[in-house]
Amino acid sequence: MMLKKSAMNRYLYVCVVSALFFVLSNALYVDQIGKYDWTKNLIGKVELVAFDSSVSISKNVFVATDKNVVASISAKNGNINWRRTLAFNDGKIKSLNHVRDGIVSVTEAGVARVFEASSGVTKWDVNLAASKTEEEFLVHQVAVLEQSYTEGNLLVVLTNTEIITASLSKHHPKVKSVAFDQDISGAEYNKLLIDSQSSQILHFQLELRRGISVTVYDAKQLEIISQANVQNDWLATLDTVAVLEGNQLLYSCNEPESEMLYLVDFTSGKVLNSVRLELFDIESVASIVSVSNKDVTTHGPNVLLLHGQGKVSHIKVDDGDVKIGWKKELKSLREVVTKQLGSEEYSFFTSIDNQDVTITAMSVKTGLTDDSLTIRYQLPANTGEISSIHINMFLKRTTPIGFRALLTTTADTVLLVAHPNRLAWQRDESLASISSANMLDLPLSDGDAGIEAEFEEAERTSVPDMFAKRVKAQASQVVSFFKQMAKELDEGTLFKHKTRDPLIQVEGLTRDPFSLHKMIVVVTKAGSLFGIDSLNGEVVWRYYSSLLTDRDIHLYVQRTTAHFPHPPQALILGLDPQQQLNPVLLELNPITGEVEDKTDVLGGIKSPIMQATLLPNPDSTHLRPLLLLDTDLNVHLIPKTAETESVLKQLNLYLYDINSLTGLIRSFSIKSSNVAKPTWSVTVPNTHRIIQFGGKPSGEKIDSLGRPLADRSVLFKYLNPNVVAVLSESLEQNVDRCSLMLFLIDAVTGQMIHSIVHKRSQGPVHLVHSENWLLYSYRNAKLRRIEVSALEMYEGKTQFNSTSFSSFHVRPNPPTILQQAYIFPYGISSIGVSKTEKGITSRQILFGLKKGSLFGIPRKLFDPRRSLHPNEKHREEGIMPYSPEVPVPPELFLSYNLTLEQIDGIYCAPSALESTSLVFTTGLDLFFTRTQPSKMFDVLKEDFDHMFIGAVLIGLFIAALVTRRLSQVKQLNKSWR
Amino acid sequence: MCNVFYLLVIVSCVWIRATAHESGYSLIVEHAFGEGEFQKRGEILFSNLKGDEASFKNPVQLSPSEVRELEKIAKQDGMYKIRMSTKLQEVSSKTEDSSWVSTFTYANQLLGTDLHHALNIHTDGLGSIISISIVPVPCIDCRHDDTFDFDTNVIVTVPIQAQSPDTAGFLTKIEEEKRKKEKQANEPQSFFGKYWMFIVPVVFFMMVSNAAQQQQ
Repeated sequence: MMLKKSAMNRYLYVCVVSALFFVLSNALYVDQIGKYDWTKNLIGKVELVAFDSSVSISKNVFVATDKNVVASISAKNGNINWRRTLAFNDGKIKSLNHVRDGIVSVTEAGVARVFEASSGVTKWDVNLAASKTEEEFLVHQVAVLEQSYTEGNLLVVLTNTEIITASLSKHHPKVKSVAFDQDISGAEYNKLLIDSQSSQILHFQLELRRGISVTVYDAKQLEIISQANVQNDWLATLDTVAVLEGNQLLYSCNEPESEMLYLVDFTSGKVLNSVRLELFDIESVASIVSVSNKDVTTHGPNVLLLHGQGKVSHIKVDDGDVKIGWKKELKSLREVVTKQLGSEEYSFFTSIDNQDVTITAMSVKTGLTDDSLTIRYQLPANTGEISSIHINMFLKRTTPIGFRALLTTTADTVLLVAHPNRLAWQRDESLASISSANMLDLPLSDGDAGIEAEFEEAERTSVPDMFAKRVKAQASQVVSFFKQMAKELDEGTLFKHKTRDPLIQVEGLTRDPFSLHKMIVVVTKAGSLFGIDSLNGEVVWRYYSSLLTDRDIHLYVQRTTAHFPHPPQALILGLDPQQQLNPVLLELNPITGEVEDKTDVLGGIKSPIMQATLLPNPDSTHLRPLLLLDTDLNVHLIPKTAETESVLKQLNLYLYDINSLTGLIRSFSIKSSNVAKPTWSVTVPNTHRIIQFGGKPSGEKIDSLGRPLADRSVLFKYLNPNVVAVLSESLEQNVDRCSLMLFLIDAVTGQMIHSIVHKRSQGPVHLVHSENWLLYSYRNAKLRRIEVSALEMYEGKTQFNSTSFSSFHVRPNPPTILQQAYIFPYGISSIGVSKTEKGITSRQILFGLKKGSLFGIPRKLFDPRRSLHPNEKHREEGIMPYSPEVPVPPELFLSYNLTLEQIDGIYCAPSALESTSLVFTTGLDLFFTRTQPSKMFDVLKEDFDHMFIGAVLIGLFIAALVTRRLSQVKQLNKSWR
Repeated sequence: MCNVFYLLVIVSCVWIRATAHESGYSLIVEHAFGEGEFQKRGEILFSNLKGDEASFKNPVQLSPSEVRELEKIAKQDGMYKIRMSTKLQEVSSKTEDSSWVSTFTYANQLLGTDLHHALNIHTDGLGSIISISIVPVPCIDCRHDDTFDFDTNVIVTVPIQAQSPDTAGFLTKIEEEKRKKEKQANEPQSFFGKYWMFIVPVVFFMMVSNAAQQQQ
């Protein structure tokens, strides 16, 4: 017994050592960093912008984005200086201000944070909502009251129930609040302004049919100084209300027959003056533009009235008199902003005519402008339309002011444009929200393509012809090889690395022998498409169409680059999530990015599209037709030709449709007709909702049909390609009553192969389904931890039918299902699995961790046959003893010391090297690397000593020659003797 | 085949029990030939709400025209479909339920087994039907006659409770190992067992030196 025990210990020891060995061999050396991996740090769609200096030209731009990121971007080159991601349960970022104390951000849920402007370090944060719930508390507007250094700046927040102030200079801010008598209506009917000179807070509230109520608070004590009501029953928007210096309020009446401008003292509500707009020759005012600053001390006596189509009139209030100044008319005017710096007050007029953006700065007082104050910029193609303009105005010595504009577009691109039309930098932020990615092989070089073309025309040419062609093609390859070598010798680049990746020595966008260099085609949620070079992450091509915005975009690669001379082809299908709008179809060459609109092909489809899939079989041009199924069960083929229809007729196709809203899974059979027939339906219990599903990847390569056991028998895998895993979560969220259910359904027959219930567990679920195994992560609600469940399906020791598989075969036994669960020590945001050319290399499970890493662990650790008490058989098979926790050694992080935020997709593609799988992760950061799950067994190590081996070989050869000669001489002498 | 027979035995036992007491919950089963309308085929009686036992009740006999229809569809490679409602109802309240689960098989497959088949019903164990599937099972000991009668076995399955991480087992194992180690450490060891690493070299050295002396 004792002996056995020690044997087991030894076994454990061997296991640990081998695991360590494995681990170490997988790790990365410092000098390998950045050789074949790259990262692209992104921030997300820019929503709020603050410039860092108001007087001189700004060096940094501070932004807040839809991904809850606060970042500082260098205004020089657009690089990220620092980036901080805020928790999503703090709510969306509502405001961003740059003040002396740092960057102040306030979220919708009332979390205020101050970041050090230069480093991004959080100085302090405070929850202004205190104990109020989300429904009770909503931040409307934020202002910062800038005061002298001794008094310190004050953060002023207007919420639906109160005004809150917090002093910014102190690390433990004093939070004061004054509640309203009743909750205030929507944000657009309220205006929060401050007066830094008299340290007052002004709150304007428009009450429909009653007028504007103006409340002035003392900023220090939050006591009401004055409250007045400006009575009128027609004002419907605060756009036509402007606050001027000296507690004056200017607003216009647009009622027909009484178009007037009123000037009111808002502390008393007394009308100071009223002027008929007719006198100024103005009809009805669309809006009144005053200085955009929240501080009323910067609001001078001047305002601009916008009326009609691009008409602007300058109004000056002088000692209670309302006077008209200059008048202008601008074409296709989009936006007017007034900014004030010292004594300079300028208005910026943005006109957008198609792709041309013109921003003109005009002195408000004089209405004068000149050429040095105009930016005329043409938006580059495929960047979308302008969605917002942020002006950075600064003082200059010669001309009084200068300015730059930060433009954001509907394609989520950010551009910084300077005078006269210079693009300082551009960031493609739609890459932060990628919905799907595809890694495609690059096209062959011309020489290789010539040989490939031979096979294409093999049927038409005779053997001697083909032989001659082959000799010719290979001769030209030899010639071009020597030419290339001569050229490299000439340039002295023969022994230099062509690219930074030691394994890719083919320049340009041509396929390398190991097929490690790929084109990554990504589809983003903003509706743009990108072709990214996998070598360095550079954008090769981009495409944006406004047709694709707000749609679910699906990319189908119909033909890869493998079929020269046919060009690669992909289809992009844009579906409206609400199924209201017509679908959009584009044809794309994924290598060059050429796009052709094919929407008219969909003309015959009357009902919304329910399902789309590529047919498994290609036509004679190697194009896989796309099959569309509409809700009336009509089948459509793209392209629709006699040949593709015959391809469809040969197939016996079954489609399934999962409706996560109704919990219904339906299947349809398509058999030589253009109408699909419903076959089976399965429904999850009505106390559950479907949260995740996963079929097996089509055309998956499986290296072995079974697993050899210790007793020399084989345990055959259940390799039904039609298995679909569906996971549902209970609607009940209570910890003790919630549950998670897994259904394994044969998608052809609708048979329930297996089902499992996880009690006291809930989503989110991440899933990988491949070969005969399934792995998914879920949250154990009771024990508050993440668990990973592994499931394997086996047919048993005998195979039912070793030659073919059909779901309709009636098997004597249901498959054996083995399942085991493990504790995962980190939060999981995504799961993927490595893919190799032939599937011989063992699989690696890739986890995107919430803490910001990509972690790759051998699938061996998720073998449900791991036993708690291993015996001889387990040892012989090499199954590790069971331990409930998944080890996370730092050496197994594919992302080494990088932080990859919000990983939401892990995509893997095989290379021509069996050992190597390419990995691309998406999220707030893009990361590309490659992984060798079973080490690099088919490539010599980088430090392999070629010179030494060569020298030894040559030495031995020479030695053999010399000794042969010597022995011959000796033999001869012997014979003479 | 052995397994099928085993299942048959179980199901027939269930059937006998279900007939013994008529109380329970029943669900209507309907069938359709090809693309035709669904018609009542019978009822499935669940003996309790948990729904882990069930039997086929009140089968509707196939009329000669229906038999002809079935044979015709089999020739056209058509489908035979079955559906049942998803919620368990009491026998008395036979209200129509709009949500159904359905399944199909090819009619010729069904005729190939003389209408002998198994209905696999999957419930969540709380009264909801999740799926139904029909498997034509070749019948060995059935009588081969020309009557076209359905021979239905009902098999009900429920989701299996998943394995959760076995922390308790692992801790006991660690505990056991620890205890064993302690036991081993505390066990009185023989003098040789304790100090063999010192004795062996001495003996070896002595042997070597002895051998050297003898040679001299």
